[in-house]
Amino acid sequence: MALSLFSRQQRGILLTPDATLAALFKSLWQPQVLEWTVITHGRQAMEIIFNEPPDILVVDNRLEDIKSTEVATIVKSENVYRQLPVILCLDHQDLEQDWNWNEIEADDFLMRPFTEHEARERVHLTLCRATRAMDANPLTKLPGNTSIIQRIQDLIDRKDDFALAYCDLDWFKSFNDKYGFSRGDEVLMMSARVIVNTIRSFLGVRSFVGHVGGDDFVFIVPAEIAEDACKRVVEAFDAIVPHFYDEEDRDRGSIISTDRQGEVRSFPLMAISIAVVFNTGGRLKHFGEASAIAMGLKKKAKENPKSSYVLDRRAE
Amino acid sequence: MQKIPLTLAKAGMKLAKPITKANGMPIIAAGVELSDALISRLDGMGVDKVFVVGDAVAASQNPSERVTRLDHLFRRMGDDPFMSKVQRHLREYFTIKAAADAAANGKG
Amino acid sequence: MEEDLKTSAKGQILSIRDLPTLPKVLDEVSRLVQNPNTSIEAIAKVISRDQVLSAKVLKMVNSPVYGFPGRIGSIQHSLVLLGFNVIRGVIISTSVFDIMSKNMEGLWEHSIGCALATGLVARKAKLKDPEEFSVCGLLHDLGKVVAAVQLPELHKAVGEAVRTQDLRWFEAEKAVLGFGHDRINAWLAQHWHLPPTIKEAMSSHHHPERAQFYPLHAAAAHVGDFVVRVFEYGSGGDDQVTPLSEKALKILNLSLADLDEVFDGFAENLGEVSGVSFAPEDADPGKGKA
Repeated sequence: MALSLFSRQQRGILLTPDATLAALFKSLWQPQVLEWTVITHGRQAMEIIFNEPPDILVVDNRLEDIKSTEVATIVKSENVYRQLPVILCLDHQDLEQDWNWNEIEADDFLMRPFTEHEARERVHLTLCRATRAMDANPLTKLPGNTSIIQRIQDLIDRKDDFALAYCDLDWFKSFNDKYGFSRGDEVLMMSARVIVNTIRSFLGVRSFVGHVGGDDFVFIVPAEIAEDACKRVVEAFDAIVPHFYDEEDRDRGSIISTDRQGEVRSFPLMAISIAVVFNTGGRLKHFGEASAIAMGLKKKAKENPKSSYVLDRRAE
Repeated sequence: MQKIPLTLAKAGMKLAKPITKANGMPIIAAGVELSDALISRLDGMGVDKVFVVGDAVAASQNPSERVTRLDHLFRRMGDDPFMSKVQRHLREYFTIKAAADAAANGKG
Repeated sequence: MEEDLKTSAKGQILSIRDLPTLPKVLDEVSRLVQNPNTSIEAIAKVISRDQVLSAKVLKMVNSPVYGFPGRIGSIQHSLVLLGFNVIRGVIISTSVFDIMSKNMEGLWEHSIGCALATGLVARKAKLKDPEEFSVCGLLHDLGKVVAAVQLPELHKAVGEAVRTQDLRWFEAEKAVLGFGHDRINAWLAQHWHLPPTIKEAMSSHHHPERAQFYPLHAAAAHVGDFVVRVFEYGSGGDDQVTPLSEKALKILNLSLADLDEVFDGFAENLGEVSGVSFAPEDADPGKGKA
């Protein structure tokens, strides 16, 4: 079977101090099909991983010098390596506490005692599933549409209590038209940072930030902090965005630019509009529902020419 | 001409632009050579940047200068094949840049 | 447990007690940051209490090195746009500016140049949070200053060795002290609780292939150091290039041709970056300049 699954030799790195595990993996595949490099310590494994990225990375939680979750985080945090599938090897007692799979972006896990069949099939499954779109936004490096949709659907399937916030910038087009795409990109980068670092300031909280494209962003936070998060994002954005305008426009609080009809008119300084959809009590079944509700809310948010957020009140 | 912080000014450097008061009135003319005494006077007046003739940033940014310095910078790299390749690449890079600069200046 | 660093010269040690003191606010902020309930506003408030420091930090973060030149109007904004790790690095760097400028000519310019170059390398390599990489470049030679201040005789000897034997500073350090500034950096980073990414870059930029957990940061700082030397902006103690590690380029997934864009960006932004320095705090009109 294995031979027909892959069109070329696959290379795996197995990070484990456990010689039995290493022997097991080596016995399950012929090297021409899937060749394993075994590394016993996390130290310096990173260099090997980045230098010659394998097709799959298996990390044993029994590693002595670094936590398996830390390895997964380091690898997944660089978008260039985001699509490298990671499997963790755990012992039963490891699962006694909850694992935050949103934070630990591993793709799967194996449990001791390992059975041959399970190990083999899980590795195959992970490898096949690993055509994760390289969909990081080239400007902000944030995850793109495919990852966003996948994440939302994942959370819905797990019946997680989360808030999904869609953000976009009002008057962005007029800014771009007047100041050019380069400055427009600066503003997008700034918006990304404002959202990421504001959400990050809620330490210890599971979160996700994505960049759909253009001036559309998405963030996911626990339902309880959604309103606070929106407040902070709006505040930070409003405080920072004036600095991206020339002094004259900044003082006046508006710019002169052409609208879609080609008419010259005055536009306010950019504002951020946020629409928040809640998934509490597992009410959502599909990502499509979430985005439909959000679109409706967004219209409302945009009625206000200033930065604002609208929460999906039906959740209460 | 280069704008440098006063802290990096040294005796012997020449002012490329006059030192002026806030209202624009020049108090020390361009072309004056800096001395230790003058530098400390400027410091006491709260001057923190001066424009001087020539120097460090200009040399760094000047591609012809970069080409001529390569052999000196790489002098201990010996026969290392990779470093020879790097040096060749840099020579090419700066030579092209120098030519582009010359062409642009010729037209200006 | 932290210990003093013994050099190979008898009796000459680098002591923890004599390390430069970092601004008081940094301690307080580091504690705040560990509390999950701390807001960016609270952190900004503490840093802003030191007005002289804040002014310097704002000047630094508004240079082209940090992605938002001229756009950052307050410490709070700098935290929102660049994150705490970057601001902490900038704070450390500005607080040693005086010592650096007085004890090793050209090192400040070399460090700022390296910050610029390392950030450009990170951007070209499409790495996330390039400003964190810039900070790695900014702090990569801190160890040299510490040695200069605490062991002036040995520091002089290193300089001698560089001049008379045409060594690179790093080689001369190893000959005279028994170790290089990368070792001092590791010790410093430990003592100042710097994040592991910056610590790795500081201690492995001369041998990025030996980086333990963060090879990207070590490799980027390594290439950044090479770039600033090619342009001879400022001085790391000698006038030679460092041997460029092929492995470092491989880890970053960059070719020599890719570096051309880094060179372009470096030359372009050098003018802006050169303006970043600070008037000495204890300017005495009577003293003049050395």
